[in-house]
Amino acid sequence: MIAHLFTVIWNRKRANALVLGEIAASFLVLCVVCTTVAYFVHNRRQPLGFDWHDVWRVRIGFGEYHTSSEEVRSATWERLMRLQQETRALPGVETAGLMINTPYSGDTSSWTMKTPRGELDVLIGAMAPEAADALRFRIVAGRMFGPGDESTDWIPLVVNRKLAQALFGDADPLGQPLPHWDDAGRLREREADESDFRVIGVVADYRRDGEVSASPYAAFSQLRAGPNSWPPECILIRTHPGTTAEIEERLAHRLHELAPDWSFDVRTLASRRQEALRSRLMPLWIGGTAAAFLIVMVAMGLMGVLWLNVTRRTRELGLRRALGATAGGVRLQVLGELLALTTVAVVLGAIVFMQAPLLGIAGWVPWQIYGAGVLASLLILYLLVVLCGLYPSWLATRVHPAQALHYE
Amino acid sequence: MWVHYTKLALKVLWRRKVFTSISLFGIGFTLMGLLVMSAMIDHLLAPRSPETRLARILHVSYVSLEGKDSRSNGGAGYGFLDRYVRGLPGVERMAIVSEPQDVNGFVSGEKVISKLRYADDEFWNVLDFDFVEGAPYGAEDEKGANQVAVISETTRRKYFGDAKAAGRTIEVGGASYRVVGVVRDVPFYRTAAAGDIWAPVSTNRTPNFREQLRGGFIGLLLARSRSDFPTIRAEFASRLQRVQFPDDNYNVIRGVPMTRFQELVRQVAYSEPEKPATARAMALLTGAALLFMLLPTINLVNINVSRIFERSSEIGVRKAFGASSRRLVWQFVFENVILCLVGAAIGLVGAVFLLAWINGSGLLPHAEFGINGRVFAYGFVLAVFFGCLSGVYPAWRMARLHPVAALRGDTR
Repeated sequence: MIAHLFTVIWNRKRANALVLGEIAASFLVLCVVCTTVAYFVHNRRQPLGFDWHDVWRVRIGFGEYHTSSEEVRSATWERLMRLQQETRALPGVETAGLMINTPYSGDTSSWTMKTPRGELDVLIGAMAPEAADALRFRIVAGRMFGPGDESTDWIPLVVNRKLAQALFGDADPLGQPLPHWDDAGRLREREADESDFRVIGVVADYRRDGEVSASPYAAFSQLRAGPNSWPPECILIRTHPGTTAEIEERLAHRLHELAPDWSFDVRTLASRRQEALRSRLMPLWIGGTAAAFLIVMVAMGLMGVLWLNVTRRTRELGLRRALGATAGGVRLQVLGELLALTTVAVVLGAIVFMQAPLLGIAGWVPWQIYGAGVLASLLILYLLVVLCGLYPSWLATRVHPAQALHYE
Repeated sequence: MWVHYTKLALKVLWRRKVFTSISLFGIGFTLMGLLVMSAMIDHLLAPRSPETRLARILHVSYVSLEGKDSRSNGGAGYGFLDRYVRGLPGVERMAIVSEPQDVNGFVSGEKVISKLRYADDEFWNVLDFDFVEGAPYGAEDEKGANQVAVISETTRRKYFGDAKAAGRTIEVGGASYRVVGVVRDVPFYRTAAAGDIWAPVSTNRTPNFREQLRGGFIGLLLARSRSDFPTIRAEFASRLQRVQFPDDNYNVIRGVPMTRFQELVRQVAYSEPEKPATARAMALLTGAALLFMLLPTINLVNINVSRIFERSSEIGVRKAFGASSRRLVWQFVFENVILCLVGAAIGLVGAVFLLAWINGSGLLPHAEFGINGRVFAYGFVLAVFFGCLSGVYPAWRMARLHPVAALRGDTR
């Protein structure tokens, strides 16, 4: 029966090729949208690693730093530390600390680390331990750096679980210096101009870009003030629960008092989170709406084509009825042909789509997500195709044998 | 002849309303998408208020400082623009404006976030703002570091409600400014102009910004004409060689005065300042449009091919009476183009509504997207192109029908 269906399809290959192409292309569109949705849903279900409630972020504009003289750079640091101190003293503030790579910031302080298993893009930036408190980081091993760590000649580093796993595997990361690999993937000595980082703690996770983004590799180094360090542009402030937006004005006022020549932008992490979510979801909304329109269009087109095909095959279908086929049998034939055609199209589409994970396009998406996306697309596509086929197949059963054979 | 074909096409389309509406839905949707896309791109690149002279403006918005093992990319420094870029041959006027920065102000305890830009007095001459109140500040304000500002209508509404703002004081980012003028809101994509509050560069309190080679500023060069662009670029390049560096951290500075299009491409593609990949951007854009048209095209071809059957007796008769295949192909492609033009009209209406919705939604600050004559022309060209693309294959199939088979209604 099934083999016969394919024979029928093959006999009308030219007409079917177009329908096949159309279904395959729609399947591809569905796959892209469904995989993106699956990816976002998957990310949404991972722990965020920090708590954004009651946290405010002050972005500081201190002017050009890197191309300035050493005196300017030292002075910048001095004032940054002072601002940090003063913010903590404000009423309603629980804790406050400087930080690079704050949540939802879009800062790009990152590093490309060569490892034997390829290059890792690692978020790395200095932070004051108070910022970790403000974000309620959950330490799963070791500890956060603290006041006693300032005098070491190496820099304490806290990494997230994902980075610890990537660098050290199952070995204990605590106390380990940050490993360096050469281009060939062999361990090498640290060079003189590279900082001596040593891992002292592991945090559960840090999904900086928010709920629907993937977990990055992340490392936090202890803040070391000085003209040769990279200065954080943000202070994170955790307020006592119930503190209202009133604090913004007081905060802004105080900051301008302390540094009249700098600029400050005070926001809640909650508002940053809203913006980040919106900017992540907007492309999906636009793409999803466009895809939905495309699919509806294809569905309508498909129904039209099937309708015309059934009308065109009146003689054939009438002959079958005359030879004793039941209405159900004819209906099954029309639907069966359509489903067989869809299956061929889906296989073709899947082969094309699977090139994405195989070639490592969007390599950060795990293959299970692709699987889920393809499955969801299959479900939607078959459902749609059957819906499109229902009316034409019913139409096919209405062919009266005598009328059909009398066609010309 | 063509009138006859048009009449025939409309008759045929009218006969099978279901299929015509299915086709029109697809065509309308596709062309709406393409029209919205081209309207947006047109608005990004076209000279419009306040950038009415955009075609003659070059932007120095991105420089790259390089040293032995360090590199610093981004906005130009005020010092660089002031000392090395002024007085280029062929430049009629030059303005210096900072990139917008978010500043907080407070109105009865409520926070207002505004985009503040420091702009010199020439800024108001190079660009062409619509003042609804007052006037821009002038050279003496810039020289004297007077605390004056021009604000947008939205800013006025946020700070002063519906009242007049000129002469009143606005407190923002820890400083207070006397409002001298109010301008109509500027869409965010007018990147050199967009902002909420503009104040003289000299009121910028950042220490030693006047010395910086790199950091936060944009130079706007208004050329006498576009033909001066090569001269300006050449002289700019030779000025780069003369730059004095404050220390030996950096010893090379790179940059190119760019048109808006080149600047956009650079921002999107992160290409090097010297070679913005404009050709690649055009190719990518065309590719994206074609990809978007792919599925609707197959869909339309499919419906058209299926409908050959309906027309077979007509084709048979015409062939039997000696119509050439070529003529039939033309006729059917023409019919399809007519269909696409009707679809384009639907798409155009859809695009007008969609753009109005985007403008009103506030998702894109102060967006003023709309359909103008140029976008209308794009739509027409796109519709004809789409019509030919989706019409050629079915037409060829139709025209190839054997007259006898066609008359019998056998279209296999």
